[in-house]
Amino acid sequence: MNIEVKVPVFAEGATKIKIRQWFVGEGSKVNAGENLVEATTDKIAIYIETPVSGYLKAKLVKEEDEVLVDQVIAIISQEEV
Amino acid sequence: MTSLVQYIDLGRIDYRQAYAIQEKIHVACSEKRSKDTIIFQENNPIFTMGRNSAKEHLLLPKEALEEKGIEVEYVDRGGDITYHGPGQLVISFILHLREYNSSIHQYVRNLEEVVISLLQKYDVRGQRIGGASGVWVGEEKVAAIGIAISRGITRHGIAINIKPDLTHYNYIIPCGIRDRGITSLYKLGVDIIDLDQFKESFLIEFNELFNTVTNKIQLNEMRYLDEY
Repeated sequence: MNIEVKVPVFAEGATKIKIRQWFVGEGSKVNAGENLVEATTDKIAIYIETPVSGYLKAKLVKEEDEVLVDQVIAIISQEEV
Repeated sequence: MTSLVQYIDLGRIDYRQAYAIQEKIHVACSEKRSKDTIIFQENNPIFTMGRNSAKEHLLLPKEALEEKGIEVEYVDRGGDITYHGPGQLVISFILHLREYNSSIHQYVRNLEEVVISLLQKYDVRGQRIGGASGVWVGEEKVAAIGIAISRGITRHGIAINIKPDLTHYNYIIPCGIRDRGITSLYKLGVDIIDLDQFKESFLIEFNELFNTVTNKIQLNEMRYLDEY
């Protein structure tokens, strides 16, 4: 089963949310709650975690990309990829 | 609904030591072993580089700064370079954001509003400046803001210049802003003699805006932190 990871809704109102750094590579095993990626606005660092354990199947954005609230940025597969 | 928030006062403390305490409380909070927490502290002189820092905003080599007794540290908050040191009150917030019906953007604005209300008590007219966060008096910043959020829980917070050595700011481009200055309450003619009362006043404003009640605890009462 594939699970989407989105830019959290609490980031609403923040402008120019930029992907700063991925902490894990595609194919890596991840545990629920683990930080996948860091995004930043001018004053806020937002760490986005995986909601479930599994494997990082795909990164849908790359570092330095600007993203929007609720945008899907990664896919977690609960089966090994 | 009113939320209960605890606060601790670390007094004058090394930045890295205080950072480690903040991280432990954050983890404990995420595991529901700790209440939401506000941390007061005053640091030894240090420049901290946020996630958006440009190296050229540090105007002297690290070694030269260390000779002057100022350390340099990279940290995981948003924002550019800033200064912490004696005479500056740093207030960090470890809060479950959703408990306060707040987006991260609104949260930053609310923190600014708390500081603006606090300064009004001292007849200082703080304000926001478009395109820049923090609280300003005229063209000079009196309080800086830098936030991080993970697992829906905030970290870091605000730094209010009470009576710091403002010459230390000459070694950086604070927050990467070249064309505006830095001020302090002391420079603005307000000499805070009783810092504890200032903190109490801060909490009154915070409680009103965030609809919280706060109670003070001691660090040694948070025994669960020893497990991290």
